Amino acid sequence: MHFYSYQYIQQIAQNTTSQIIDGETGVQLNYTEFDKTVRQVETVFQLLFEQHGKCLIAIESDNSLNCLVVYFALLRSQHCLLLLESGQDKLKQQQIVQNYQINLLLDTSLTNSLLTALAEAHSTAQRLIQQLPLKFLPAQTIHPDIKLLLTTSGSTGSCKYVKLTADNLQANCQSICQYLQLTANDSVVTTLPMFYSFGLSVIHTHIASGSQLVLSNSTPMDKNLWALFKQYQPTCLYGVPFFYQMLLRLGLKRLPLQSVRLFAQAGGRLDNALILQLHEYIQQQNDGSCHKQLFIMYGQTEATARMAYLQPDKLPEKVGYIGQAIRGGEFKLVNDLADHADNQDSSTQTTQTGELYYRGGNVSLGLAHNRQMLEQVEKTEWLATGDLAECDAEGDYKITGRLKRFIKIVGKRINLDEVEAWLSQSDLARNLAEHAQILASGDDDKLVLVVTGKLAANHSEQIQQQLIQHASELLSVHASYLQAAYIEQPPLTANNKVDYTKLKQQVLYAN
Amino acid sequence: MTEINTDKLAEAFVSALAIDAAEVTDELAYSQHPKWDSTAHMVLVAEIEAAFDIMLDTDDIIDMSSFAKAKEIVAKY
Repeated sequence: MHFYSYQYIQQIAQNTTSQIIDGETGVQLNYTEFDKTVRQVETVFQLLFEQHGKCLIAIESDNSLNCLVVYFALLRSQHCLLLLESGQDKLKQQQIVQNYQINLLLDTSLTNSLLTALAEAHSTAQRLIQQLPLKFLPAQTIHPDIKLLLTTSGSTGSCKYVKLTADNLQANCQSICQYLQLTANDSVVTTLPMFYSFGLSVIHTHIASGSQLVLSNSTPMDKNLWALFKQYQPTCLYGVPFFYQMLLRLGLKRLPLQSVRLFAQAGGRLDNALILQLHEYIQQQNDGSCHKQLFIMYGQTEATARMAYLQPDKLPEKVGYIGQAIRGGEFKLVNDLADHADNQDSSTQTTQTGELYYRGGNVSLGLAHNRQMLEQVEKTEWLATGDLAECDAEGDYKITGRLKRFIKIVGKRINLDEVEAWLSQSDLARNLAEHAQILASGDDDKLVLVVTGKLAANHSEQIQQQLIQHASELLSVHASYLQAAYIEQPPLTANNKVDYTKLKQQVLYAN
Repeated sequence: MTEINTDKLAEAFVSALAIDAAEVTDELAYSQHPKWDSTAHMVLVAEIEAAFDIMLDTDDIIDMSSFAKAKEIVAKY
């Protein structure tokens, strides 16, 4: 039974008095009312697409009650869903609509008018839906197992989406509920967007456990978020590294976090020093009567959301570790350099290293970048995470590096090859001399852009400035996370490829 | 209220939000301007603190939701 099904929500509704609340409008629904509204929306959509088979519906998603209701209604339908970021650049959105031949786009205003119409009369809502412009029909086939498409990279404009099944969602939801021990007494104010796999997992798990769910789009820099914390006293708090950086900057002790029993972090690596600060703050509050915990977690959208977490009581000793696979999941390390292992005295080694692979019910059906790629699915048993890891004698894992060419900026995944491709197609690149090239490298929270080739000496400064401005807009990333440089001849590896590691070091550690 | 160097404050806004000086008016407001999001706000706080050699309080960081408000807040320090 899936957590979004009628049967499941009915069962939950009988065991909870919690409410699902729209933090912005103040509208509240208990679980019975929520399900009733979801079913009304379901029936309105039932007639739509009747003759067209499985279609692709995109929801421009924000953390609102209306959006949540529509999302649940469509999860129960036969169609495939794609979550778009609300407030995204319209051109980027159009590109996704085209690439995926989205049959129906429910933008936020449409979602809101639908729910308003429904409140008036069922027939009004039905008329509204029947007038909707359906596109790309007859539609190209979508594999029956694909239920939901989620982006891997937030608003950087990448068209890559992860193909998830209903069972993926269910498996991950169940594992997370189990290890966080969520109950109907828990409460959360959302601090992550719904289109992001981590944010969506928070919504799924809190509904599956019948807890209070307060939907908000506010950030820690908004007064409104803290007003909601004071009003609704959440017990759970979730954030990406940048979120916790903000909290620490604001001062944990000065924030209304007294009700929070569970602090959870995922979405990239949080600095060890910050983990320790957080841990210390939490420990200071723990006495006989309360037991607050910090969960450091690890995941990827390719695994629906979560793959591992570190047992809270292993902090502070195991700071920097991601811990062990969630229930129903399993890790292994694959070492391509296995033949070198013969030269080492393996008997004295307590740790193993290699690329981290994961298997479990939450491993997705692979990536897509257009509609054609929704016809097929890849059923890979073991997901290659692209991360290098080591495992200690107690079976706890630690990420030591990354194989894939991507970095994270403020939690957003940025594919460096994509950045190079975009920049090389820009006007900026076209104005460069022949053989000049733009290369992308960097670390988390630092994107390094390097112009190479022959340039007039006075030209390079200007190009670097333009490059930063252009890339900042293109990726929707603050310019302070970008660094540009000019290196006439980039360092090369033995087989004459660009040595990105050296390139990055030359720029970042030049001074 | 003490007079503050408005030009210096405006400079901090221009550099932190990567906007034109002409856009820095009293009406410039957090989350209304596309460039003034939570990331830019963190950068802005750091710029203001460095420019005026002050440490902003939790409440002041959260309250600083417009250029006009920022003038008031910085003047308190």
